[in-house]
Parts: sequence; C-alpha cells; structure tokens
Amino acid sequence: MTGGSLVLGLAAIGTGNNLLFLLLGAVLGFIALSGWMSEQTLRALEVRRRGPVAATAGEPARVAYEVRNGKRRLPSFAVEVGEAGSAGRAWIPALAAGEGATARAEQTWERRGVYPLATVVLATSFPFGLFRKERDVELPGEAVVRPRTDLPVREPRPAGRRSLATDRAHAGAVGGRGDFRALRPYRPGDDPRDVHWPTTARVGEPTVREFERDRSRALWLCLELRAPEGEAAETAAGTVAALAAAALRRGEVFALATGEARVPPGVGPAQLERVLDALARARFRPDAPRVVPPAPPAECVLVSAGPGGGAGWGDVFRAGEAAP
Amino acid sequence: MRLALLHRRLAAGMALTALAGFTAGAGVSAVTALAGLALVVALARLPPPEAGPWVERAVRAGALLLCARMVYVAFVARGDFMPDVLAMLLFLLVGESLRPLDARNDMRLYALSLALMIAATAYSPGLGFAAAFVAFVALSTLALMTGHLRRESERFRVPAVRVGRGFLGATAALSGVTVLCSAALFVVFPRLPRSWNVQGRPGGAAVMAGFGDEVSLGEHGTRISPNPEVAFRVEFPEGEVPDPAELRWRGRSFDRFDGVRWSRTPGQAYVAGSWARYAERWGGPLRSYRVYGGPAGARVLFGLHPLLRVQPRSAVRILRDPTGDVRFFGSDAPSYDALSAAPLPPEEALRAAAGEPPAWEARYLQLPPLSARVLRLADSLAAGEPTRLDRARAVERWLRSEFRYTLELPRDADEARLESFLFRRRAGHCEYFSTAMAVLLRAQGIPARNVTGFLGGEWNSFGRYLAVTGNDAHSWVEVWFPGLGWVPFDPTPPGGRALATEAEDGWSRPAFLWLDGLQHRWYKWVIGYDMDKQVAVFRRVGDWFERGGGGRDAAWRWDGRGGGPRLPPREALPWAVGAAVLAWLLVRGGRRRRRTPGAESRAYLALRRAYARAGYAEEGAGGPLDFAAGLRARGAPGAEAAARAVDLYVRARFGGQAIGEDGRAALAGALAEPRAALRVARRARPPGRKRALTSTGRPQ
Repeated sequence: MTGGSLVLGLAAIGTGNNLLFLLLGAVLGFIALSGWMSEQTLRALEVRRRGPVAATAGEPARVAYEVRNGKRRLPSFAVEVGEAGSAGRAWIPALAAGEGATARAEQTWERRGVYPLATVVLATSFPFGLFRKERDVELPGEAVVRPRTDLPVREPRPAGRRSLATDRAHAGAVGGRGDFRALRPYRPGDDPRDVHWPTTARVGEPTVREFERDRSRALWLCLELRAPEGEAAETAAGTVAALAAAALRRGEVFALATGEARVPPGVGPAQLERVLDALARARFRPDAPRVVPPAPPAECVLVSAGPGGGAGWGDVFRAGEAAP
Repeated sequence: MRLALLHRRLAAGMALTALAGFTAGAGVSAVTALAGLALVVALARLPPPEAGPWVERAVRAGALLLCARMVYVAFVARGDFMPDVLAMLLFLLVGESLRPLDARNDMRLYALSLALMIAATAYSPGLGFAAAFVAFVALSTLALMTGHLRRESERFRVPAVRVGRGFLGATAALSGVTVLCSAALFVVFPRLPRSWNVQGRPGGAAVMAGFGDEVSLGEHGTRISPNPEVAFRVEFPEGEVPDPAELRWRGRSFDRFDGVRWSRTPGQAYVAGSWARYAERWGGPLRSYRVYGGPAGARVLFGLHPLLRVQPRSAVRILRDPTGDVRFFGSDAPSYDALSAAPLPPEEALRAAAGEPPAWEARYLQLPPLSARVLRLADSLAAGEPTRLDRARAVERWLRSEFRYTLELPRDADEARLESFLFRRRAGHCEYFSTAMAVLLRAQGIPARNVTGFLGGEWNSFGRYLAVTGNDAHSWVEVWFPGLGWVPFDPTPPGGRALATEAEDGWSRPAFLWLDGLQHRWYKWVIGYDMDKQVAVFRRVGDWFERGGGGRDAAWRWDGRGGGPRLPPREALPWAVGAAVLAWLLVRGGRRRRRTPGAESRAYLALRRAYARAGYAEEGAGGPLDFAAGLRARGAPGAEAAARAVDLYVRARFGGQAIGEDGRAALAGALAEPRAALRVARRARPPGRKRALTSTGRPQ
C-alpha cells in the first residue's frame, strides 16, 4: 500500500494529472482511516481472563477471555486477544458498544510447571488489514501446566510384590492384600508366592493368583524432588501423574507426597486434579528436602528421577524405567 | 447474506464504479459495455461453483490471446497498443469478478479496480468521474472491511460472522472521511508549474464539425440535429455581460470557395494586419475574458474579433496563423486568457476606409464559376451604393430580409448548390447565408471571407459563466476594409439561433445549467487546479486567519492569482438549507436508531404481539412480568416457555446482563415454543369462532 501510494504520488507529480492527486489522496485517506479506526477499535476495551488457567503439558489448552467494549457509541470489530509472547489468539468479530463477549484462545505449553502470565495483548488489524495495532493490558495471573497422564506405567505393587526396578521382593504389610480376584498366567516380576501350584500343574504353565487391592488403604505416591531439573525429572512427574490416573481408573484411594507438599488421600477426578496441580507446582532441585513416607514405606510407591534410594519402599519407579 | 458473498458483491460493485469512472472519460464502447454487463452478472448472480474451472480456462485463454494481440500491435503493426492494454485490464477485472466465491482473489480485484480508475484519469473525465470516484471510495471502504473480516473469520475458523445493515451504513459513512482526506490532500499537495506537465485531452466526445480545414455546403437529406454539448465556457471579470447573444466567438476563416466547399489556401502570407493596430484604430473599450475548453476535435482557439492577445493557461502552445486564426498544439485541454477590441470600428471610419489594395487581395476575390444570374444579382445589389460599407450592408440587409432561416437541409445535391439557395429555395442555414454574402461581395470586387465560430451562448447564473454550446455554432462573413482590417457582417436572419433557442426553452434547462455549472467547476478547480490556483487558495486561507475570517474583498481577482473561489451569497442560502436538512435527517436517523429496540426487545415484542393476536393478552397493557403472569393464569398455550423468554428479556433489558449469543439463541428458542403452541391452538379452534376480550384481556 505504501509503495503503491509512493508510485501514485510520483505519477501524479510527474504528469500533473490532478485526478491522480485525487486518487493518491483517497489512498492516503484509506491509510489514515485505517489508523484511526484501529485505534478506536482498541480504545476502552476491558479484558479479563476467565477462571484459572489450567493446561496439560504438550496439549492445546483453551484460555478464556472476557472482553467488554466500554465505549458509549462505537462498536469494536475483529479484536484479537491473547497472552503476550505467545502465538495463541482468540478472535471476536464484533463487540457492540457496552457489550461483552467471551473468546477462547488455544495455547500449548510443552512442559509442566507454573507459568506466570503478566500481559494480555489486545490487537486488531481492522478495518483493512493494512496495519496492525496492539494494546498491552497488565493482567497478572498464572497458568498451571500439569504433567501428562498418558505415560505408560505398570501397576504399582506396594504390598510386598517383587519390584521390577530392584528385583527384590518386599515383605509388605499385614492386610496389604485384598480379596482373591482371578488366576492369570505368570508374568515376570510376579511374586513367586502367588503361584497357584495346582493350576500350574494342570495347565502346564505357571499361573498366579491375582488379588484385589485393599481399597480401604491409600496408595501413597511419593515423588522424590531431590534431583536436577531435566528430562528425567519431567518423566518422574509424568510417572506419578500416570500412576494417579491409573489409580483413578481402578477406583482406588490415592495420595501424593513430595518433600514440600502433600495431597491427602482421596478419590475421584477432583483428587486427580489436586494431585496434578501439586505435580505442576513441584520443583526438582538437588537440595530439595527428601520425601518422607507418610505411611509405612512398604505401602508407599516411590517415584524418583535418579538412581539410588528406594530401600524399604513398597514399590519404586525410576525415571526411564517406568514402562512395563 | 454470507460474508463471502457480500464481500464479492461489494468488490464487483467497486469494479463497476471504476468502470463507470473510466467510461466517464473514455466513453462507452463495445468493450466497456460488455465488461459492464459481465460485472452486473457478477454483482447479481455469480456463476455456480462448478463453472469455476471453465471461467479459469476462459480467463487464461483470453488473456493469452490479448497478450498476443498486444505484442502484434506493438512490435509488428507498430500501432497504438494502449486500447489493447485497457481491454486486457477490463478482461482481467471481469474474469476475477466471475470467479467462484472461494477464490482468494480479493487483492487482485482491488488492484485491478484501482488500475482502471488510474487509467480513467488519463482521459480528463468530467463530472461523472467525480460521482464514480465517491461511489468507488465508499464501495472500496466497504469491500476492504468485509474482505478483512472474511479473511480473519476464515483464519480463526469463525464461520458465522454476520454483518448488519448498521455496520454497512456506518462504514459507508466513514468513507466520507476518506473523501475528505482525498480532497484535503488534493488541495495542499504541492503542484508544479503547468508547463512542466502534460495532461490528456478529453476523449470520447464526437468531433464538432465546422472548425477543420474545410466547410462544405453540400450536406443534404434531413434536418440539422441539435448539439447541446458545451463547446467552451467563458468567464468575464465583470461577471455577467449584458449582451451575451451578440458575442461572436470567431474560430476559423476560409478564403477559397469551389462552389460547394470552403477551404484554406496553404502557405498564406500574413494578411491579418497588426493586431495592436486594431485596438488603436477601432477604438472603444477593450474586453478581457477567460476561456475554458474548446469544441471536441477543433485545434483552434475561439475569441471575440478582433482578438488582440491570447495567453495560454494550460499546457498548450499557441500559434497565430497568417489569417489571424489562433491555433494551438499540445495534448492538454485549452484554457486561455484573451483580450479583444470593440466588436466594430466607428461607422464613419468604415465609410471613410480607403487605401491601396493589399498584395493578397486576389485570394479573397477568388470565385468559383458562377452563372450570369449571380453576377447580375451582385451588380443589382451594389447599384447605387457608394461605399464598401454600404454595399456590404445592402447585401447583408437583402439576405436578412428576403431569405428565411431553416434547419431543414436541402433535399438533394442540386438543391444544396448556392444558386439553388439564391434563386429557388431562398431558405437555408447560416453557412448558405455567409457563403452567399461572401460570393456576392467578391463578385463586386470586395475582399471577403467566410468565418465559422459561435454566436452568443447562454449565461449560467449558477456557475457565473457563459456556456457556448454546439447549438450556438454559426458562420458569418468578414469584409476587408483598408486601414481597418477585417470587419464582421452577419447576413443570417434572426431565426439563425433557432437551435439554441429551442434548447434554452426546454423544461430541463435549469437542471442542465446547474449540472453544467458543476461540470465547469470540476474542470476549473479539479482538472485545472494548478500552482496559481493553489497559491491563491493558500493566500485566501492566510487572509482568513489574519483578518479574523473576513478575508479581503479584492482577494479573488479574476486573473486567478489573487484568491480562491468564493460562493456568491445568493447561492449560499440553498447550500445552507441543504446542509441543515441533511444534518436534521442525520440527527433524526441517529435518534431513531437509538430508539430501535435490541434483539431481546424485538423478540419480547414479537411474543406479545403473537399472544395479543391469539387473544391472550392486550398489546401494550402491563409490564413484562404482568404479561407472563397473565399468560400463566389464563393457561395460555406455551405459557411456561413464554415466561422463560420474558425472564431472559427482563434480565437483558433491565438487569443489564449481557445474555450474549447463547442467550439470544435461547430467547429465540423460547419464542418458537409458544408460537408453535399458539399455532396448534389456532388450528384446533372451531372455524368462525373468535375470541372476545374482556377488559382484562381474558378470552371468553
């Protein structure tokens, strides 16, 4: 547009054709009108984020914004809303004077954590798309990015089962095992004491007994934060999230403990939310306080980012070794 | 209407206005007519999407053909290929407009439309361009805005964006800002002196006959057709002139007559005499004036005889040829200041004129072979007249009194001859009269020549100028008087201005004059806006500020160097009244708009009307909650849904809650339910039974 105006201006001066001056004026008028209208579009717009921003790492989250046009007469058109520094934008086609609207912007955070949100950007290139105007609105907040829950994990065996990680059998606590559920073929890692010998003899291959967990007891997931930040730490947090999600699916009581925070035992999706929130806020660092098992260690599952430790725990998951 | 369809229609409308602007200058041709037709199709009914590939192929093939033709014309035929370039422009514009809706070609459409407007400026178009320009700006604003909304909605995948009439109206009004910016920049952008630039001549107009190198008497067949087209406009420093009908705007002179046509002998010696001496010997007051334009196709400047001085104001070069005619060269439309002496020398001086015959006299005594009858006639008219003036007057008088002016052309070539005019038909148009007089004078040995030009003109009080039209075209005679020069005589009877009088009596004349006044201002202040006018405008604005808005009375000097245009007080009144009416309408419209209920209120009122028609409520009685309670109490069908709708309405209207799109959808849904229930109840009602309302509106 600017280049076109320049060429038109040169042509008008060169030829003295007054109608070219008129057209040049119209083109510059468009530019002026564009500037004024985009300014008016953003004027007196009020914006606020709706609700807490909760997201899952690596998945698109929808951040809701409420935008209100505080102008008395003029409507606003084609308003973009989004967080400063991020590409995700919500778009509102029209906002009549005095009216409000809600729009949602999609945004993806790749890693778990709590991200501070400081500024919301209102932008528009209305009316002609020639220029883009932006207005920053200071709006402190935070986005809680939870770890993913879809990391493949095996079922924890805090009640004296053989740990895959350490290849040691733990004694387990009395009553840690529930009612008999079914027989199934032996899988490596199963406790040899669970082998049902009569059936094994009858079918000709090792068969073990499966028991219900004692649902009255909580599955304590203990996350060791004493580790440097990095891929292993993220995997550890993801492992805890996956274990919690699996516990929810099984209908178990579960709880979370780290060196800095605890989520008391509970059930259901709300409990999972609480656990995931705590995981989102968990900070790995080498000098973090060690996790203290809130129940007898044999009934707890330890998840850690690095090697070492784990003696006495019911089950141990180490980052990178979580997959069955 | 879908946003994409609306946008395409606006873009096609934009292209159509650009085409209108183009035709305002270049005229209508087969190509522009076809393009216009195709654009109207694009505007009214786009081809179906399945026709898209065909349109694509046709555009590609057509563009290739036109390219090939352009190359052929430019490099092989070495001709003017600009018409082909313009045809290509129009073709591409039409092709883009006819493409399917999902084609991402809006930028191309904008660019091609703008290119067409730019091309239009080369033709110095008239007032039609101004109208097209305003429409173009308005439609461009709308098209650009809807196009932007369309792109953005597609980018953010928001499909159901609707554009209301209010938006379109407000946007169109905003284009006024663009027009104002355009006008302001037009005025203030620095101009270079005129001579630096070259402008296009108006094109497309029919060439006006009579001002070339030949004038023929031989036309016959029908009637002279009127030509109300304004040939040129003249402004006088004193404003309105008292005798506009007597002004003789001289153009070309002809010395050679072959019995049918007048022509000019090439390579003539200087025969005009010193122009300064005209003023000196004819005496009388000098008259100055400014002329704008000239008849289409004529390369001669017009002025009052004797023309003493001509000063061009546009980029044209002026050449005064040996016969005294003033010709011009250059591609610009002529505009010039002129100074003329008194129309006639004193009677005594004419009678006393005597001197040696000039060397070139024989050329103005040349005659075609004439019959003895003509020579005898010439002798009889001259008999007893002692002086050249008396003889000329005798011939002039005889023709004016004994002959009749008619617009009817001779029936055949024989009747078109001069002798037939003199002895049989005794009626004709001005060229017969001037030819007859010139021939009869030459037959007496008096040098005379035929002159073409315009007689009179019509005073345009709106524009305060004299408009000289094709209907004023005229022909007369100039007679040589030794020592005085060429003196005009007009043998045409008074009915010679029949065409002009017919036109001036038309019922639409005031409108025509008003439009022509606008056209004149357009040419004067827009097409002809130059550095002088710019300086004058700035000076006037400066004076305005310096002297507290009073300005200086003498600021607007006629020579254009002293000031800008000033609206005459009597014309200011209608403008002021018009502006006041417009403002009142705008304010009233704004109030109405403010009073216009929102969507919630409309839905609520519709609900009330529906129940009132069915006899369950009285229109306008009670508030919304009373209405809902009443419906429940009377067991009206759909009362619960209606109550929900009323609740939503009350929350939105009085609670200040923004119910948003979802709320509106819910309201519409709530409205649909009682309406359906009412329909069912109506159908179930026995025919012929009407509900009577008690004072409380309860059906009985």
